[in-house]
Amino acid sequence: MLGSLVGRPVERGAARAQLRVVTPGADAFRHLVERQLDASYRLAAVILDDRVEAEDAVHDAAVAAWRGFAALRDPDRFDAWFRRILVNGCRDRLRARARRRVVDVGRELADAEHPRVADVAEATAVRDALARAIDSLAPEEQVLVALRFHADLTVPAIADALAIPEGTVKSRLHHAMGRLRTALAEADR
Amino acid sequence: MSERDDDLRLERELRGLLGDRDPGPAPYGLRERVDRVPGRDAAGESVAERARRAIVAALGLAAAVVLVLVAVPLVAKPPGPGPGGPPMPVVTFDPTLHGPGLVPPPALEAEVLVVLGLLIVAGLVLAVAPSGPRRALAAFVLVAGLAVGGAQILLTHAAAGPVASSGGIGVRNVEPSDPARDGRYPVYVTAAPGDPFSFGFSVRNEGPLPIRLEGVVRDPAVHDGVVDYPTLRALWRDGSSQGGVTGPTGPVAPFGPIDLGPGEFTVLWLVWTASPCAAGPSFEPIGDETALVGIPELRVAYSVLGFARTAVIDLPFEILQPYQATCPALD
Repeated sequence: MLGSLVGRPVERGAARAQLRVVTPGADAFRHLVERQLDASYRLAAVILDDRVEAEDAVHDAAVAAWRGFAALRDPDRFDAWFRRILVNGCRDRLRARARRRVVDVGRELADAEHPRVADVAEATAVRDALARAIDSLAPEEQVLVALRFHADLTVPAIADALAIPEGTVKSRLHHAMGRLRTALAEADR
Repeated sequence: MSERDDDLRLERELRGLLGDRDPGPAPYGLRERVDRVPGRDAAGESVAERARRAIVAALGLAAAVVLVLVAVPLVAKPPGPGPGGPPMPVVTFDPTLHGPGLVPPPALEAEVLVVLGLLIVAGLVLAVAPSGPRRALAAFVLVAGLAVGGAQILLTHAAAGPVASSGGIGVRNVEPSDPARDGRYPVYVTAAPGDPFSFGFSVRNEGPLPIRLEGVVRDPAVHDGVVDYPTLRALWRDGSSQGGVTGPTGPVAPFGPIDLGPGEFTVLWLVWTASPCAAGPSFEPIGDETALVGIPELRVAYSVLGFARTAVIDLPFEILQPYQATCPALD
């Protein structure tokens, strides 16, 4: 059963106040995770572009978070902490995926033999080109793009989520956008 | 279209693309899975996971113990006196002395333990580390460690070469004879049953790496239990620091570990006692039909780069002990 603290139903927003007076336990953990489960799942799905893998990523993040939950000193930081765990897990999955990346032979052949097919719907072609460009980015940059343009996080918030300096966020974002811009321009030709 | 327009369009396309990936609220199945996470146990682990972590921890502890057991003797080993080092305390040669310089055969060579420890540690890291850079780093460490360990083993085996023994014989209670057919001089033990006899030999480090002589291997399986064989008793170091040979009647010292640089050598004396069946001083080499026994194969124990090695002592002479045809000790 979700959404209860010490056996009592908890109103959204009241969790933090109650966490200060109760020992962090299973119910508190469930409530905190459940509170951002939708956002976490959506973020993971956007980063990974795979709903099944996103479910696994969120579940794994929950397991990792539960293991470290007792050591979390400031429950107010739970959301950022959990997001960091989730994003790191997604990044690792992207890395693993990059190592076992296979070429979609069917699509490559179709594009090569029937280039006019892609012109039928220009908008779709542009979207496909952009999607491929995102896939070709480094895992860290893919995560960063998702956090910036889907989660709408600011540069400081992204830096906090990824535990990297703001300058690094800016430079990686700049690099990623440069490649995406190039991909978009090529798709327009 | 201006650059700003391009950027705005790119951002719009990006948001649209990422928005298309957005699946909406989390499905019920995921909620159930996440809801069960804290119920696994108090530590957030299943019983199988706890058992796995306990095994991993135990193996890690074992690996650490193995590494410490290997590393401590390598690091803490005191330097031995080399040929140019401080002189050994010289004492009167005591042919009845037992023990010094005789070492048991190496049981499990250190590099085997090192490689084993590396494998265990790297395997543990690979098992515990999640996929990603830490796992890749562990794999790299595993490969690099094995490569370095393998290279070191090859280096110490192949490049160091055997410790050669040649020339220089001094005798006590043994009788040299004419050259034998293979060029090795037969040397007959003339000590009475139970009496000591000794002979000297030189050991040269012919490899490119410094070595430490640890003694002569006394393998109970080889040297004990055969009543008509002589018994290996002790190893002495010749007292001359200038490369000369003083012999057992001159200055000598009980053996201690000796460091030898490439090309350096030292002279050693092995002390034995004749077997209860030895023919003794009455033996006549020519025309005598007394049976002869040789001494078992001798190996010098040494270490190179901290790894234990042995090499056969290739004596330029053949020690032969005549023994009585009718030996009371065999009855």
